[in-house]
Amino acid sequence: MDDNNDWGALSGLPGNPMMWVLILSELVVFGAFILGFAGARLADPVLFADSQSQLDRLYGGLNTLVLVTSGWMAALAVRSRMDGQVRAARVWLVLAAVLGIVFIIIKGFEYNDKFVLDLGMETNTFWTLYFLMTGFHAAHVVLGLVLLGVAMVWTEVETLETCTAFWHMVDMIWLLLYPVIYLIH
Amino acid sequence: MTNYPGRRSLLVCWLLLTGLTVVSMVTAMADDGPHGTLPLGGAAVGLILALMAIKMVLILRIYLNLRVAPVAWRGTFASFVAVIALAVWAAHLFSG
Repeated sequence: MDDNNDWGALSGLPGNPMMWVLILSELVVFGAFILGFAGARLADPVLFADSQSQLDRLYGGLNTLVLVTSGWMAALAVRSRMDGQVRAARVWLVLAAVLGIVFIIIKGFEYNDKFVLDLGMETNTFWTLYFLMTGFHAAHVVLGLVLLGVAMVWTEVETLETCTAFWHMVDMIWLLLYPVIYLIH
Repeated sequence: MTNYPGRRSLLVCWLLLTGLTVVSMVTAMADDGPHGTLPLGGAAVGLILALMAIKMVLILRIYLNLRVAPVAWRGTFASFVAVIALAVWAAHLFSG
């Protein structure tokens, strides 16, 4: 990007420098969440093991596969647009967004399962952190869906790059959350 | 974005992300299923976290095209991912 030259060290990064500032910021925020979660688990491993057993690792794994597939389609949208295939780029964006919606639906089923068991933010530290971290991430998914919609309408290469970069960040944050919250026990 | 990866690279990246996710799931559920509480060994947790780190770096390098960025940026992001993974691993080892 030619106009990257005024961004100092950020000029070396591909795509929109402001999006990289956001990606760095979000990684630091969720990294702090993860470290906080690991610290809280260290303080009370039995409570965390018992609470975590009420999560379904398959739900989380399915959502991981859904999101990485969506990310692949978002990347294919950028590739198609760079090859001059605007219609194909839009189709890939639609497919990426559909999978994003599937992610939210699965997350909704998962939350519902917890609410039926009377598990909520105030149940204990594990559930407070679980709902905070996954809820904050789900909010990012919704914002990402809006940005994919923006890219479907305004199909300039830079717009696609920027909007899909946000989507990849959302994908990456889930890859951070899933093993720590669901898998490690 | 200069030199954005081709379709083949994107496909290989997706296959790796999918495969590594399945390996993580199998590792975590091998002994006691999707709801088990049997503690995982340090090696299994280390493997799951290493796979997490590899997947994050794959997304950074391929989907976000960080591979074309200067080595300092690539190192910064890789170090960040490594620090998180190592810190979580250390916490697990301490919790016994």
